[in-house]
Amino acid sequence: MTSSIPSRRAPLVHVERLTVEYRQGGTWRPVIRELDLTIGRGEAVGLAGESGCGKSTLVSLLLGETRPGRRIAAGALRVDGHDLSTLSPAQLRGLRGRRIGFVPQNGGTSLTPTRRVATLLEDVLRAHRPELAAPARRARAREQLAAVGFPDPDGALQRFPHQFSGGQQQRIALALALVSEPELLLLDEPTTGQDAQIRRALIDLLVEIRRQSEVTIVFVSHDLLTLSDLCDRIDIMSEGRIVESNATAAVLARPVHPYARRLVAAVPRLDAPPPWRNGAERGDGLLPGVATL
Amino acid sequence: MSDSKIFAEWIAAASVPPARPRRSGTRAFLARLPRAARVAALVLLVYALVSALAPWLAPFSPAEIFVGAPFEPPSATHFLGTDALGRDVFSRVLYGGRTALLMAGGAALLTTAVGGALGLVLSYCGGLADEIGMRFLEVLASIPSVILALLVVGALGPSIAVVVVTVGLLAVPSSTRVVRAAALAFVAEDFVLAARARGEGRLAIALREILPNVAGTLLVEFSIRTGWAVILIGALAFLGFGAPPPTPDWGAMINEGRGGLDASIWPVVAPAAAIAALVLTVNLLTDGIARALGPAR
Amino acid sequence: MRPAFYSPNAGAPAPLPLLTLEGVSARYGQTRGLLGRPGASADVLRQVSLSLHPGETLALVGESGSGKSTLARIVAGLQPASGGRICYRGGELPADAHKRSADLRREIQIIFQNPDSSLNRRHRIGRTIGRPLELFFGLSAREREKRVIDLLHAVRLPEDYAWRYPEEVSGGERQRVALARALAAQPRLLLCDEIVSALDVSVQASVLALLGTIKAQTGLSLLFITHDLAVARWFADRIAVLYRGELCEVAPVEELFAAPRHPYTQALLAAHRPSTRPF
Repeated sequence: MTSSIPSRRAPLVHVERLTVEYRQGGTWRPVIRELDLTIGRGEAVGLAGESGCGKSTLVSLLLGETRPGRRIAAGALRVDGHDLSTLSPAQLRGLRGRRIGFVPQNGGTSLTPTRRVATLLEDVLRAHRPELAAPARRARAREQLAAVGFPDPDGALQRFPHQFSGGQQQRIALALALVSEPELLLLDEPTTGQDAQIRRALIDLLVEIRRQSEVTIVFVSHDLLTLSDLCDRIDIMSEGRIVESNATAAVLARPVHPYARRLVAAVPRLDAPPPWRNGAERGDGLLPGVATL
Repeated sequence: MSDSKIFAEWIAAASVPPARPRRSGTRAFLARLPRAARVAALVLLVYALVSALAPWLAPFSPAEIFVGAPFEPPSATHFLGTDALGRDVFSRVLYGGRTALLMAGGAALLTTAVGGALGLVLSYCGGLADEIGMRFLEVLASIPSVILALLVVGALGPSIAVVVVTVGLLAVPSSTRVVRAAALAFVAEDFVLAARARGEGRLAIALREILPNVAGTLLVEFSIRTGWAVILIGALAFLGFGAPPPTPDWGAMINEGRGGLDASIWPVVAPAAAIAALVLTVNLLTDGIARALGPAR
Repeated sequence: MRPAFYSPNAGAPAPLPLLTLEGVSARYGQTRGLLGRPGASADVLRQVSLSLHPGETLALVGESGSGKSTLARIVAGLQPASGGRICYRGGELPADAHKRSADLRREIQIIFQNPDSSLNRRHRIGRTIGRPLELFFGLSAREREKRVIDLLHAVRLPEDYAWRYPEEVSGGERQRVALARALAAQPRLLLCDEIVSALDVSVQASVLALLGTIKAQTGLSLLFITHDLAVARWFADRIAVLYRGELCEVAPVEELFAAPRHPYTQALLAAHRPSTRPF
């Protein structure tokens, strides 16, 4: 995969003291508070946190989406030096899909069911790579489908989304995000609700894609274990702030912030006993109610 | 940090109430009601009050003839003039509200009660009973309602009870279908499974578990059926199959006033406007209720 | 520490299994069409044999579609098996919950994956928890209220939650309400169907910690269904691996992790282990 990388290794994503608010009743409530985030080119960053911590809002803002009832109260988001809030809708469309690829949580439902995989992929190319002629589009679609692990890309191109399994649909969604060769790939909880083997296959695929290209990855998940296999760095979000940001191994081995410590300890791990077992087996009076039943 | 301390922290963290506790209940429901629906509710209240207080508000008896000359124009004595028989149109319109509200409300109540009960039963029974019941109701629903109503009322003779029961039962098939569809969405939910695992009976599950969840649907259905019944009862009365005279009825008034339109438009316009405004009000309220209950209910 | 009413395996040196499944099978799509033509059917469970001992936790692990939820529903009497036998405490368990005695229904409780669906949104939490108390113990309204408060405390919720509706509390709290409702019946066997997989990680941990404590204090037997091997390892004494409706392997936890025998178990284990760097 080729991508035009400027000589200066400026950060691809630069979020500065960002405060985002939602309207609730008559007042504005912050969901993201003075958030700073810098992501360098070629980095893979895991954004972890739980429902309501603001991570999905951040992803939606990075895609340049605006919504009624939501406003940027302070700060700025820059992708490749462009302040997203100053771009026109046409400029944003050029950014989305072309330079920023996005894989939503439910890859399967994000695929239009009435269109063949070939049409889905070629539509993206027609919009974002107008210089490609029809045969070149088909070749590019085929190449991308092979790159996400379809052994028979020609056959897969002719089929409809529902003819694939959940894991395959997820990979088609990934191919759609990557087919225009974006510089930034955003993944919003793509493995949530998936079986371990499907999750593992997707992560292995992303590791392989990183090895072969310079794509920058922002992977949003509440699953630290999944992030740990892919990301160089993990940022943990809580209540609209990034409370911990460090190299993956450091975050997992020595989390500093209390919330990060709690989150790391809560991850079910094959190599560690449940941290609560001591307390529970002592029967230290945690449940007076049951004893008096 | 010790393990038990981490444990205590989890518990504490998990005990934090959600940031936005969504209030459920009557007050929250009222707060979500759109403005148009609140105005409509107010208008409906005025309708009800005026109808209830008609004997005190009406300047004349609605049935008494020649309280004025025939086809008098609106004046200080007769606000909306008089009709062909010299009856006071204003008083008749006020009393007509009683007939309209009581008959339409009664019919809608009957529809919702019978349709609701059938819908609940069919949704929970499923299987063959459901298939047969639904097909039967579809056959009934395929006959045009005004024609069917005319046939039944014509055969039994027009009386308030016959009209109310006929109009009420006519809408049962469609109400049943709506309630059944709403209830089916809940039959598949885990709280119904949990009730079955506890060994609750079918009736208990239908009444305790499912009914509270379709209450909103029933309310909307009642409201829709009221508006519908106002129109159908008015149409029947217009065709001469309404409440027997001298009961003041808007539909009948329009029919009676038709012949004298060139002499005075008020005996037609006043009841027609009353029906139109009532239907509009009920529809606005229905729409608002449906919105306030949200898409899930 | 064990409360008096919980003595499921008192004085039994070599306890008999609490629950035994012998060759249980299940099929999907047995619904009749309008004209009585049979719908498409597929095997969901094939000849599954298992046993669960008093006080034991057996984790049932498998991917979605492996039939693990179907198994829980069959044991709970919510879905018929197409073949096989289920024995509970030595007697054969009737297939339909309605055909079981009240005691059987009380002793076998099920908790579902999604508390949004398993709690009636139109019932206050107190009513939800109080219903088994009324049904199985015939408690009066006043006795129920007191017991509901005890149960709320038992699942670490404040007592004023009895007056709230499910949508007024968080997801983890809802699942703890579901747990309280199951505990209200004073069960012997708790069927947990993916009870934490719809929850955030730290909330998941709090619910698991709570369940672990309750298990340790009461000696409940658990059939714990999960797709997460790590959670299974935290919780279970033995693990049963289900793959496309067939039981591949049943082994004590340490044995299964040290030496998985079935190829599917090995693949599942590999998918759970970090690939590039140690955790």
